[in-house]
Amino acid sequence: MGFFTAYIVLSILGLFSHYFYVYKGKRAENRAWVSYYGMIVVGLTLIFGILMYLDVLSFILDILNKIPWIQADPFQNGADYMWNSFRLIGINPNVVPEPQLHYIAALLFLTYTPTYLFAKMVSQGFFGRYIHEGGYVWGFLPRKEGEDNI
Amino acid sequence: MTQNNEKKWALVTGANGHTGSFLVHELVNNGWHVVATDLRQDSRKKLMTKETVFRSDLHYMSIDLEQVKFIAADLTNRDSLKELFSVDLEGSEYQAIFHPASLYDYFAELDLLRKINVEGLRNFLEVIKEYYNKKKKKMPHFLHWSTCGVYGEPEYEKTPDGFDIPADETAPYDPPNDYSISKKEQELLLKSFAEKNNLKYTIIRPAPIYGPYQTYGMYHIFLMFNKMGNGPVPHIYPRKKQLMMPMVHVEDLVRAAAFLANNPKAYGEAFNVVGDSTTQEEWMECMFHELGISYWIVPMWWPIYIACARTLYKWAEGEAVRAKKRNSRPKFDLPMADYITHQYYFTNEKIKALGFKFKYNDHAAGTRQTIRWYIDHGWLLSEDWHKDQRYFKEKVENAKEVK
Repeated sequence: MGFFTAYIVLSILGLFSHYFYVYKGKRAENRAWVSYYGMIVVGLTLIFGILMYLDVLSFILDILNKIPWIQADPFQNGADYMWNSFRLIGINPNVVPEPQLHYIAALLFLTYTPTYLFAKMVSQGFFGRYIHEGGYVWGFLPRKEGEDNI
Repeated sequence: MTQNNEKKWALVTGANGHTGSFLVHELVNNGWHVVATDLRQDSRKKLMTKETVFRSDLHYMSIDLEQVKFIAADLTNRDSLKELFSVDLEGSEYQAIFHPASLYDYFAELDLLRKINVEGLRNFLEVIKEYYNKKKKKMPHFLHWSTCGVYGEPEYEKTPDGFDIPADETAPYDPPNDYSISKKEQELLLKSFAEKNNLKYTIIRPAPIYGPYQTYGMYHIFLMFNKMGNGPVPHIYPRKKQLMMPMVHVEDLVRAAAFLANNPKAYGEAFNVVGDSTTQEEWMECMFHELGISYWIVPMWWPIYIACARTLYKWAEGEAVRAKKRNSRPKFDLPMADYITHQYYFTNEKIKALGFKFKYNDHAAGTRQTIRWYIDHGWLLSEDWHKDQRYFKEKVENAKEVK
């Protein structure tokens, strides 16, 4: 997961953050999981990204470089991977990780949390913000017969 | 004249319903004595499935008052209606008959609506006629509840700027749904009966009613947004296309009925009972603010808005069909969605010209009062209410099960 893929992943995972509110209908019980989930998702993404950028997880690159279409143009180091991770799906942005890009990389890491929070906000719309809310999902679900629908 | 003969007696149908219960209280507060009627509780519960769409524990205001005599009756059963005229009125007669009773359910089949609303009215009028003919007395003033829905979406006259001018009571009938069709048929029946039998009548055409204790209609809209927790407010361009929100507070409606009952100028007339209309976007902002939920204003060009609204309407249409197949009912009845695709805009000048003053003419005051009542009574949910009552109730129940 490089910089740009991290945004996509954080956005998608953020969209499901309030799904815990609807999971098995146990909104109150699952409430804390919304926070735990956020901390886990953003924390793991950040830790992975930073360690990767600092070349601590270079063994992953050894594995990735064995992929046939990567072999022709292998990742040089963690920073190269973080900037050009789209190469994994055949798209090469050809960003050369010059030292000046470190500042931008730091900024990008800082925007991980706001990205997740923005997606979480949208998730609140879908699944509700408080435990008594159901979000748009509730509006579109059919009425349950024989029980209170609130 | 004895003290008893000075008592004013009113007959109120549908007295256990939302409007009926408020009307009974209004009349009693104005010094009337009331014979109240409605279905027996078990039959009412079976028929009024609309009242339990979201919750089964809601109830209307009690009419258990000293000045009120309750007699159960069924509009579709003529014999039961006769009992309403065998009550001891302490030597007096009814000064007015208020008829708010009807099956107000957008999901009900037209046949059922006709059976209860139209044939029920026919039965009622025949019983009234029979009784007063036998007594050789004039029939009292009959106040009939209809709806602004009988107009459908009229052809509006325009201001020079192209804005709609609200329709008055002369707008032709064009009912857009089964309930309004049954109301139109009721009006025609009443007019023809009144002409043949010299009945003094007044037709009250309320806009969508809101107010405390309501379990259907506007309450469903409040509950929907309360439950969804957020919503968009479409800001339509060009501004002349913006849709209006006609509505009337239940207290104003029953005050208007009591006012018209005492006014000879109301005989043979129909009155729109609707507060000064505001735009849907203004009302939605006010509602969201009072509900304490987040909302965002979405500027929209009219063609895009109407395309989105029609798509939503189509989905609601599909939901209604699917619910029918399941032998259930949808969360929201289709005609409620009509308001996002049609312009409903009616004037209240006629009733104002008679001297009636609305208490909640300001939509914001009425909406605020209503939503606060719902929240205070736990009919709309709030975080604290949820924690205090439902959540802990569940915990207690679970604990009992464990024991």
